[in-house]
Amino acid sequence: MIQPSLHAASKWIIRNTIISNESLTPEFNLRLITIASPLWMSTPDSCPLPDPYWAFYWPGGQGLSRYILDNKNLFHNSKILDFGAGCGSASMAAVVSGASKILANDIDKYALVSTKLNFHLNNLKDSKIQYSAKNFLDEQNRNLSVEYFNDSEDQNKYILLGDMFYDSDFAELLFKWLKRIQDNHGTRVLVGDPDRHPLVESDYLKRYKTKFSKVQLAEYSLPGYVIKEHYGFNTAKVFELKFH
Amino acid sequence: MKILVGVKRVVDYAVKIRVKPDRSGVVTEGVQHSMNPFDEIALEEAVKLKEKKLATEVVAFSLGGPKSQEVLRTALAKGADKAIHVQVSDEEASKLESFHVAKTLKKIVESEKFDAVFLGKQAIDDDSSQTAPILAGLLDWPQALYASKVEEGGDGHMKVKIPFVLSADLRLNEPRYATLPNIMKAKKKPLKAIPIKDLGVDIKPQTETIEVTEPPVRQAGGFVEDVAGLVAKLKEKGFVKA
Repeated sequence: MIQPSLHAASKWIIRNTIISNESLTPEFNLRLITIASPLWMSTPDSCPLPDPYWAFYWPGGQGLSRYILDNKNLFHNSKILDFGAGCGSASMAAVVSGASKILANDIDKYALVSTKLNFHLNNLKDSKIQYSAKNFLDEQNRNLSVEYFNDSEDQNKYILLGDMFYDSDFAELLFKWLKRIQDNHGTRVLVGDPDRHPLVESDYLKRYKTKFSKVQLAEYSLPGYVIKEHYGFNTAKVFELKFH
Repeated sequence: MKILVGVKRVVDYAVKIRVKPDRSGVVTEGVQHSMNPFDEIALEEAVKLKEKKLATEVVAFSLGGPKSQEVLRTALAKGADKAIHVQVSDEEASKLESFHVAKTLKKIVESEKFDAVFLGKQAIDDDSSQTAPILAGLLDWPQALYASKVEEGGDGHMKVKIPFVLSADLRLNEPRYATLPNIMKAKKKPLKAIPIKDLGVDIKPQTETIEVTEPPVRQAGGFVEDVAGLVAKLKEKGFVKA
């Protein structure tokens, strides 16, 4: 499949998404594929931009962004890595909270286009944002993500992850990478998640090679349409992961 | 409660079935396949129990050739949390019997500690209706077959204790549609593939198909003018006594 240019992608997003603020963060308008879009009942192959995860405001992302907006003081003047930025809501919340530097990372370059469009839509400046589509879990890129937190001794440092834990094998890879950054820089790891099995089931928690403790920071009731789409998940939780 | 749901890849219900020229079976190549509709209903019921917080996890299971993974992805998009594909070749899959499926399900139930197994009341390809009762027998679990309603502690017609095997009737529910976000989420959910030999299940056929034939072509009917004409016709044919 031919990949559309970033310019073409940007046009497609503007034409095919709907501006919505029906979420845990009603202060943000986001360009999304919603139940009102014809694409909602389609299959991924009807989108020219492959697998548009950025076109949905997933429950964990909503909870995480809400938490940042409700705890602005924690993020003021901080340095942030938004891992799997998607539609960019957490980066937007970080800018509103006065973060001094944000690395918006998503392996899908179109997610970064969507993030940029959403900043513009909300009249938020993205001058503090650095965009990267690198896969930090690849061995060759690992140092990049560790080095990002260099020279920030006097700052609060965070890695933000919304809806990243679907599969325990992938979770294990993430934990290893996160631990390395936390060990080097004391970076706090914040996770938004509706309690999917890789972070909940004791069998998995026991089996992971990278050990951590999980502290719940907040829990939010999800809007009705989100609950309906997520079959049995009623709340989004925000956790802090502390690696041993 | 952890629920295992069996989903079978079958020729789509809308396809006109054709018998192979050599009469060894029906044509499956180049034909639209989908999830057995009764299995969709079983899955929907399990997902509903999860939404009501009565079930903690719903895992979809399929025993079949490589393309069985397509129906497992569909099951994940419709609400299953994980999927297990027990792999056989397409050649082996065409000769599988309910007994083999039940034995395989038993292995998975025992190794992964499930509390209930939900199945369709029958698959629309062979119409056997045997997997659920054989499995209940092998596990020595109670069975609720052809279920048209599932209630927790209700005054239903039949009560079963957990663990149990359920087979779903058409009336049980109306399965949901998989929306785009759910199809995308399904791509991230875990699908475990296990070769059948790793489970040590013997799938040697116990039956031999001698011949598959088309049903006789239905004869054209005739019209009668009125009730008197109908009665006269029935008498003429000897269906009513003169």
